[in-house]
Amino acid sequence: MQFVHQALTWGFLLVLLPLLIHLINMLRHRRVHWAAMDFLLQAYKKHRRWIWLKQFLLLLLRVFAVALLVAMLAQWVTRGQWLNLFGGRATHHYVLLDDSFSMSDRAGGASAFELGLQAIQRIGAQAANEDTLQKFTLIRFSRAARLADLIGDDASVAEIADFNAEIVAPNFDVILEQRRNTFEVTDLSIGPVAALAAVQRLVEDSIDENRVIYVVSDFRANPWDSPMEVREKLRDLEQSPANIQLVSCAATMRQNLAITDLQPAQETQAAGVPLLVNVTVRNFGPDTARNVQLNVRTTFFDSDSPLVENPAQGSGRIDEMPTVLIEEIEPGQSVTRRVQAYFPRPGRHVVEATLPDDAVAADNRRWCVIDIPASESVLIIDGSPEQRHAYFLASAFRPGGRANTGILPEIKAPDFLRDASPQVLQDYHAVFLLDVPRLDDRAIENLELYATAGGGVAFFVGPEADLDFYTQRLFRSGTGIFPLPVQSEDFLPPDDFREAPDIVFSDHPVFEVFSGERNPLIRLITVQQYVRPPVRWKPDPDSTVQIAASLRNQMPLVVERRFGEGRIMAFLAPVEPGWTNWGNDPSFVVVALKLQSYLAAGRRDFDSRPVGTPIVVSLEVDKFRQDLQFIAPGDTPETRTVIDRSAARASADSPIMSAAIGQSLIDGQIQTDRSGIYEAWPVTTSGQADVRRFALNVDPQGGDLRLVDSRDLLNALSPVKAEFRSAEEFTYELAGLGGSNRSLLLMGLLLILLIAEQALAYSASYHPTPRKT
Amino acid sequence: MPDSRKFLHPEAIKRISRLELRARHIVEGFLAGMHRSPYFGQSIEFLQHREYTAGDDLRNVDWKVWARQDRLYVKQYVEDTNLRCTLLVDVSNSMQYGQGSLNKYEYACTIAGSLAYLILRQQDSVGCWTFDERIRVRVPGRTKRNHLFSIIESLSVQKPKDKTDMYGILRAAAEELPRRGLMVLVSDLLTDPEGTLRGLKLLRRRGHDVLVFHVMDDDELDFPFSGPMRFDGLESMDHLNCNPRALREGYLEALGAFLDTVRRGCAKNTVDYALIRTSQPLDAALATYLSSRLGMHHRN
Repeated sequence: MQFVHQALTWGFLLVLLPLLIHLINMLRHRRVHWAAMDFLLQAYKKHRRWIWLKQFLLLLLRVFAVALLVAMLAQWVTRGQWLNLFGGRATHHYVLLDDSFSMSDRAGGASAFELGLQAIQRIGAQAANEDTLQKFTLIRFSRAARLADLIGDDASVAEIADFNAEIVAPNFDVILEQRRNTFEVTDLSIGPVAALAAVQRLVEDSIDENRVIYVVSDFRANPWDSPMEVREKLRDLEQSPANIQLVSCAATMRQNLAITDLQPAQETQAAGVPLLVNVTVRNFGPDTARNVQLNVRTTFFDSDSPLVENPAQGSGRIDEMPTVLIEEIEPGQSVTRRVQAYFPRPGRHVVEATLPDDAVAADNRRWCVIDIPASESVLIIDGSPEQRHAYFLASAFRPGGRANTGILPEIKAPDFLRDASPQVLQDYHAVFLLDVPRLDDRAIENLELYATAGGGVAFFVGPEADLDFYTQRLFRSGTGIFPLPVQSEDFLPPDDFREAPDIVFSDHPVFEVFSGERNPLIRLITVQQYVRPPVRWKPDPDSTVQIAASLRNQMPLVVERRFGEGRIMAFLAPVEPGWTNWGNDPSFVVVALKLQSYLAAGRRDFDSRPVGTPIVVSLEVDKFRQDLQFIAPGDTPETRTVIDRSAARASADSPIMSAAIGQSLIDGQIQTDRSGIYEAWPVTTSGQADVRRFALNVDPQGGDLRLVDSRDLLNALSPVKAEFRSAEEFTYELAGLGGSNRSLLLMGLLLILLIAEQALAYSASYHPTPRKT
Repeated sequence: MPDSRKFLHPEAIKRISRLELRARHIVEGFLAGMHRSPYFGQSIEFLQHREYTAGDDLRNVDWKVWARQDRLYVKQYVEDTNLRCTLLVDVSNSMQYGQGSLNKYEYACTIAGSLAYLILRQQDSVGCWTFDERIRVRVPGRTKRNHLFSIIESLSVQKPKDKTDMYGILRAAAEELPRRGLMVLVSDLLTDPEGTLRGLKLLRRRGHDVLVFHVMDDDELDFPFSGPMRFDGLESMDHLNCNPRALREGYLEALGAFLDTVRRGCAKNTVDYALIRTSQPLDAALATYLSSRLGMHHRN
């Protein structure tokens, strides 16, 4: 039992007053000598019990009335469960604040986030003015998401809440204002589900309170357009029970462009080889965007001279590339432009694209870190002892002279696959098997392991290949690495009239050189002989097997499948001319290079991960020091933040130790909630820095500023009875939302009690009536 | 109300300390307010003829008129009787109650005195008994004017006390006054109603005309008390601490039953009964008396 004014609780002694008055009245009665005593005694005997009962009730009511009066003056704030019956419980305000980057949309001077903070300030200020017990909980969306992603279910919500069931004191609005000044919009794009789940956990732990749940957000179409999960959460909360208030901070949809994708094209990545980078810009605004200036710049880091002494100082060389002008982007449409970057030496370099400022700034910049190797190693296994097949591929990959394809072929015999360790194979970007007759089990195992881990493998099947072996051991009814069963060699009847090309290419990145029906290159290729699958074989629609090219007699020529993470392509003809003239055709060089680019895609390393993702660095214990530094991006290179970390081993005998940032809240902040380039600076035992870079980018869908219609939203949330109100005009109404004011409740009870007392007193005939004349 | 009646209010009467003066004042005031006597009785002084109606005494038929006009008329005379009236005045303790101008005892004495004066003024005989649990004073009936002083003296010297034994009193009256006459009982009747009614019945059986003035105080009839009170019995040791308003309903219910019993019992025994509040003007008792006298003639 709590009272705001404890000193007034002495007033409860006044409950003795009615008793005393009653006793005094009994002593100071008027004395009358009465003649008609018989009638009086007769009436007394008849009504004695009822009179006593009424007098007792009257006394009780008067005692209660005095007690209520004292409780009202002392401001009773007890949270006893029985008070539920009267609605006199504490009011708990759960405020969920959307701090996604879309809340930075600034319309009319104040951003949506600032409007939301102002609405929260009003809620806090008005709660502070209430004379009943008020509690306040504030959770930001970003921190609630951490609860689920990083900390785990066992963590306490208190760790992520900015305010956790804080008792609202009279000066609470000052505290709230001080605290909210530290709140900033993050670069995250998070829905309300995690925050609602966090509130659910809080609600489960707290009973006996009137709950008002405020969702302060801009209510963009993403993620509010189809709020099925939100509805379920809100419904659970409403049944807890709670009053749901949706406070909208954005009223209009403004023009917004976002860079939704930035990544290198599927081409060979090697030092000294021009790198093509695809940049996609999407128009999330309501109007057509014209003459959009897209700026791309690269930051080249010379890996030979990293500054160990001062990692915070940027050491990269920035190259501004010519501005790309996008003439027009329709609303809701995306446009992709390809720009060419160049990195002369290997390393982890950065490509950054920026758009001019618009409604939301966070999605106007995007980064990617591209790990540029010195070259891409390719393993060529030639089945012929003379290596006559490998010649054609090696020539394509290493044409000689000043031409640099960035590809480094290594030609080996089939037994290399058997003898090589899996780690050795992992260094190759792609493996080509040229008319290999058969492989032993060890080689098959190594090859499948390599493919599963993301390596690309191309088979060229020729006259030397043991087709039964390919079908039985490599295809293995679809479980092996080879994409189809092969039955026999076959001849393609010549087409004397040359009405159709021998090969029909599908829309595949490897064969894009042949795109277009009238492409003359196609007709230069002829096929006389090939290996065919069983007649009734067709790719299983449920599998990843697809025909990339076929012959004019509908028989497959190139078949692709996915094996684990790797890409597998089977050419049912050898490279060496004889069955086909393709090896001698100039188009083969292009296809070979494209094929290598395609197969090596899984081996290429470029980093672009969602903002908020933890960054974990694994280090070999025997090669690196334990201490390392992480560098988080700032608004400028000078404001970058250096975070010291110490790597730890998972177990005492583990050869790997790891260090991370972004896995927990440090000083109330998530260290990876800002988009940009992060760096990890582990140092080898010899003192060399092995700098690793990571690009953390915003979720491009967060830039979709379409507003959900309030009526549609309320309909979608039905049967949840939520109120949708604008943040600018939002004011907190305690009586309507938080339940009864306790003082008012006590006053009401007192009034009822006094009326009942008067009625009972009248009934008990304590009220004088005018004497009859 | 005639102006003269304002002097008959208890407040006015209270200012007259001597009872015989009170009685004269009341009676004179009462008679002065009457324009003509509406009372008719047996007398030698002829008043008027009235057409005969069934039930009229044939002795009163004027046969001479019948002989002349062949119509039946009865003769009416100015009242002239030799009345023997005995006033039975209750002076028990219960009669001492009264919060108004006159308590029940004073009121009863005033009524008795006034009646005595009126009766003596009519040349009739009047006597007076005062009683509580037994007969205190017997004043035999006389017709002399100065007999009034004896009656008033018998009323004024009494100190009321003890309980009322109504049946015993009435039986004694029936036995000691064998000649038929008018018995006027002035009492609050706060005793066993059965005994009272039996006594009244006995009187009637002996041929007496009986007139009961039931004197009650306003407080007793209305029970207007409020606030914590202690009621001490005037005729008993009983007492009661209570909130009187809580008991009012029950009290009035019991009182109503009592009054109903008395009223029915009187009616059954052809006893004239008048409930008189001590706040009422005193001429009401005289009017009741005269009305009762007329009724007696009619009954006779």
